[in-house]
Amino acid sequence: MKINEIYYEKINEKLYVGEHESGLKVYVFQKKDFSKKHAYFMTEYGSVFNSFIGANGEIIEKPLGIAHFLEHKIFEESEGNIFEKFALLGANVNAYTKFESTTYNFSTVDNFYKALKLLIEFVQKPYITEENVEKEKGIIEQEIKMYLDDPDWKVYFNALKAIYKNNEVREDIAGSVESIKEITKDDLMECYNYFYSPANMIVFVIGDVDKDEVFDTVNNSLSEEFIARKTVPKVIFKEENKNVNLKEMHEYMDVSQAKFIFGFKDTRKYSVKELYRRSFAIKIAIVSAFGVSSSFYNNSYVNGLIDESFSSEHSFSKYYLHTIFGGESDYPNELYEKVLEEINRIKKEGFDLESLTRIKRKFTGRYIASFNSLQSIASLFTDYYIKGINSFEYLDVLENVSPDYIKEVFDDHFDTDNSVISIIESEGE
Amino acid sequence: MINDIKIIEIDKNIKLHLIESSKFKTDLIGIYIKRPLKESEASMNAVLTRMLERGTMKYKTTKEFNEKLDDLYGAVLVSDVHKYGEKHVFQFKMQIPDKKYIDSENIFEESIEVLNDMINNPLLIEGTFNEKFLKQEKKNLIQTIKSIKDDKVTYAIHRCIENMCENEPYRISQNGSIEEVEKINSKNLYEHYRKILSTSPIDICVIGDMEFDYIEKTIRKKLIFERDEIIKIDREKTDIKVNEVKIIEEEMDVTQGKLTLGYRTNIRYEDINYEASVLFASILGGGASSKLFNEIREEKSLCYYIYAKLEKFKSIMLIAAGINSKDKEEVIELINNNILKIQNGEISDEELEIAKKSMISSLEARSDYPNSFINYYYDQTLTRKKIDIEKTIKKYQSISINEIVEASKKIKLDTIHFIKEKVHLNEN
Repeated sequence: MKINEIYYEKINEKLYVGEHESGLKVYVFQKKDFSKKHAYFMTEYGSVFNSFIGANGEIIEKPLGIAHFLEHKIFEESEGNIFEKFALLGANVNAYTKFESTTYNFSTVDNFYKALKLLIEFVQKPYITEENVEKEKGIIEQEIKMYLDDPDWKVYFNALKAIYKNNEVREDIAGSVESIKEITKDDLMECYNYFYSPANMIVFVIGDVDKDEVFDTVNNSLSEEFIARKTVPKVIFKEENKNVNLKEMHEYMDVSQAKFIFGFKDTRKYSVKELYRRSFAIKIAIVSAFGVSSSFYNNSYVNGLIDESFSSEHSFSKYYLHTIFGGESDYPNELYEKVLEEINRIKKEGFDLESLTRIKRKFTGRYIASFNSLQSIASLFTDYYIKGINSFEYLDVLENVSPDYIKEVFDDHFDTDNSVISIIESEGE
Repeated sequence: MINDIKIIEIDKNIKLHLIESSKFKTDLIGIYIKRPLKESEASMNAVLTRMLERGTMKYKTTKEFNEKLDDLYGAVLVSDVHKYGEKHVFQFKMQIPDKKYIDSENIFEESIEVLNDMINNPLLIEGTFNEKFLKQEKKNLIQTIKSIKDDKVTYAIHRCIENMCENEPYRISQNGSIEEVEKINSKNLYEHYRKILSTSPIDICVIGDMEFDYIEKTIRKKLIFERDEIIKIDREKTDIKVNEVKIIEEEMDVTQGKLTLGYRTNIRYEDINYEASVLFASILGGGASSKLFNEIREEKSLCYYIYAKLEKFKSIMLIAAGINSKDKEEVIELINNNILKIQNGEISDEELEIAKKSMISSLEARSDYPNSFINYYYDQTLTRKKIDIEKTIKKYQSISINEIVEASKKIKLDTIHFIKEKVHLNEN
């Protein structure tokens, strides 16, 4: 394995990068004195990758929810129980599927290298049978139903359904009770062989570990079959129209107060680097304009339009770009109008410059504080990795975001004619 | 890794706990103020944590207050109140980046000033809380109480406890009740608050990489409480007899039924076999290697989540699962069978080892998270146990299958609570 070392002066931390001949990348982030050690084995394959080009150039389409289904099945073993094997080492194993990635991870205090070997090996060795695929359908059906009873989840996905017409971020990560019924053993194996290849995967390790032992352990745990797998996925994305799909989504559920999400769609294309820089501009802008220390937040709170649940979030990736505001309110429609007015006002009058400086300072402090938690470091690193970004360059990019740039990006990004409102409320309101 | 701990009584029943750990990039201050869990004050306590965030005599609006926090490099300031068994504990927490990583020598002192301002100099008008703000915060609190039912998974557990402990303080939720919120006015609230500050036991925990002398001096200088006679708070009652299992069914608009079973463990945290009861709950339903998970989810595909969890102070165990309503009886029977199996000694060496390792590993990892460490530390002070992680680990290591079987035999089912989907009649 070829090993490189990168030092980040501002945070006084080091990252080691090992590259295996197969294309698999292994990252080690040493944190002295922490008891728990964490390892992540991630593939760039998530819930939005349902159409792709096969070995003979043919277009392959799979049912919604297949990446998540596969995540469940990877845990199946020909003999023994993988959860128990980890638990006997004192380790806790888990996995999660997101829009663009599937990650298997564990944490442990003792027996780290044994558990790391186990992680790398079990993900390389799926044991999928017709029988165990059928059995899993009942479990996943209950998982889907659990989310269907969660109004926060529903209001969020309804907003994505309003924003996007074709992009599959609009679909539930686990698929639907109907779509998972179509999934077969062969479908799962086909996706496994296509997406679980060395060049499409990374290992990230964090904790008080010996870097060389990590690289050696990974090296010795790779199977020949895995190393030989050369597939480089070619995923097909449906083109997304500039305009939102629907202006409004309304649904009735048994909730005590209306839940809302306002979404802003942006279909412009940028380079990864530019997307990253823009994301800072947008995040600073929305915290400055709508965060707890803004006039907007304070006036709306005093007037009873919002409560402490009001918040905003900017999401960006190679495949989607949007900003949402969410919370609970008795007057979601009025609030929506106010948010649109405030955006237009700022476009005309500009930002409070002092506030931008303050928010940058806040971001700096919060980023430094995030280094307390090994899980936060890991999830930021893996999330950003998928986007093509190195999360440890955060402070350098943050530094280079000027007030003029923030204003320029804000003006472009927020198109009040291209926004949506999603509401969940109880009947009779 | 915790390098050192020092405890100093800085005033009448105000203990300062200094905890040194050099691996974090932040300093964290936690102020814990202990009250009894009572119907008459739970809602007042809850609304107070909200009022204190509305401003201080120095930072008169939430905007100014939050701007100050932004200036302190995004300091995180949280004020809330939690149930610890039948105690109601205020928690004021402030986290700041350590001065080594930022350009601000006095950040710790400034932060203590802000904390002191929030707690000891809240925004008052003519000697009492602002009526208009109070009206709003009462409304927001009522909304929060109502919103418990939005998340059916949590709501199911809440309802099980409410029914199971209908004649015990433990039924009171951390925000109290709508009726009690409505009784609050700025006068009775402020009087109550003054009493809280002067008569409640207070613990201040500071964790970070700073000199103990410097922390002590700063806190003695900047954090000043007026003290009076200190109240006594009783230990929870746990010897509750179960004469008949309560069975409660509710219909709601859900896609999935939510089943909750409430048990009395009849073992107290002071008891010699307390740790054995923790391992019992873990073997039964403590994660993906547990009996319930393996049989009810993995073998029978009847659920996605099922777990068992102990409430330490109150000696209660809860089992929760999301299932199809038609499978309810089957799931209850399977749960009973698995408890019976343990009572009959059906515990494998692997199951014992897994349960022990999982407990020990979580104890060892406590010091990895500043907030969870001080919360665990405070939890230990409530049981009057001196914190000694090594000793607790040894205790877990020594427990035998027999002791777990004995502990499991004391358990009594008290309540079965079920939320089932409302049947919608077809209108065509």
